[in-house]
Amino acid sequence: MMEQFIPCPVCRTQIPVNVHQLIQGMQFLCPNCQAAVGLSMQSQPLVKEALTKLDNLKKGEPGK
Amino acid sequence: MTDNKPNIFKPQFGAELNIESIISAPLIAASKANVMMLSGQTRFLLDYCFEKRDDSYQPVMIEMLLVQPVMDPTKQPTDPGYISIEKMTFQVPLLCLLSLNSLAIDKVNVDFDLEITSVGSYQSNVDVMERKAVLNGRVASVPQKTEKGTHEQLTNQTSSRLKVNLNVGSLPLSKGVLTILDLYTKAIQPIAKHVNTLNTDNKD
Repeated sequence: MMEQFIPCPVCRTQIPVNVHQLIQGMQFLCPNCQAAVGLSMQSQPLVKEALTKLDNLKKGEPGK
Repeated sequence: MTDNKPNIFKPQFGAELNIESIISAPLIAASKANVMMLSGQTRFLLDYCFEKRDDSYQPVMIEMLLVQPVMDPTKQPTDPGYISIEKMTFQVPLLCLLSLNSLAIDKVNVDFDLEITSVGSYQSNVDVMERKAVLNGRVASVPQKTEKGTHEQLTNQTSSRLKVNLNVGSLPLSKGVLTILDLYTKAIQPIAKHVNTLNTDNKD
C-alpha cells in the first residue's frame, strides 16, 4: 500500500503515514523527534469518505 | 467423443489499414483510458479535496492530532510532572493525504504481428520529385500449424510480416498538481495550536 508523507509540525521531518490506518485511529511517530501524529476524531469521517470515493474511482465504479 | 478444444477467441483481422493507424491504435486506446482516469481524478479533486467559495476553490483542511512528550526544564528528572504529554492539533490539506498519482496507467505492453498487404506511394508536398511510400497492412493472425510445410509457410510469411512491440510508461503527475502539492507542503505549513497539557502522573 502506498505511503503518504506529512511534514512534522515540530521538526519539519516528513512522517510516513498510511491513510487507511490513520482512519482506524493509528498514530505515526516522527522518525526525528518521536512526536506522534494521528487523525482527529472529527476529521475521520471526512477522510474515510474521500478515501472510499478514491478507491471506487480506482476500481472504475461510478461515483455517487 | 466430445471435443476438448479450449474456446479460443479468434478476432477477424481482415481489414486492411495504413500501418501507422494499426500501430498507433493501441497507444491511442491507452492514452484515452489515461485521459478518462485523469478526468475522473480531476473531478474527484474538485469535489472532495476543494470546496468552492465565491469564485475560488479553497482546499478542504483536515485536523490532525500531535502528541509529544515535553520535559519541564525547571524541574528535576525525579520530580513528578517532569515529563508531560502535550497534545496539539494542526491542519493539513486533505489533498496531501491521498495518493492521487496511482490512478494513471503505469505501463502498457503491446505485442503483435503486422502483415504488410500492399505497398503504395504518394507525391511529397516538399519535394516534387520525391515520392513517399505508404504501407498498408493488417494485424496478422497466429499461423496455423499443419503437419507438412509449417516451416516453409512461416518462412514465406516473414518476408511481409513485422513484429510490433510497444512499451509505454506513465508520466508522473502533471506539473500543475505537483506545484500545488509542493506549495501546500511548503506554504501551508502546519502550525501547532496548543490545546491542553496533560501531566503524565494524571494519565489513566
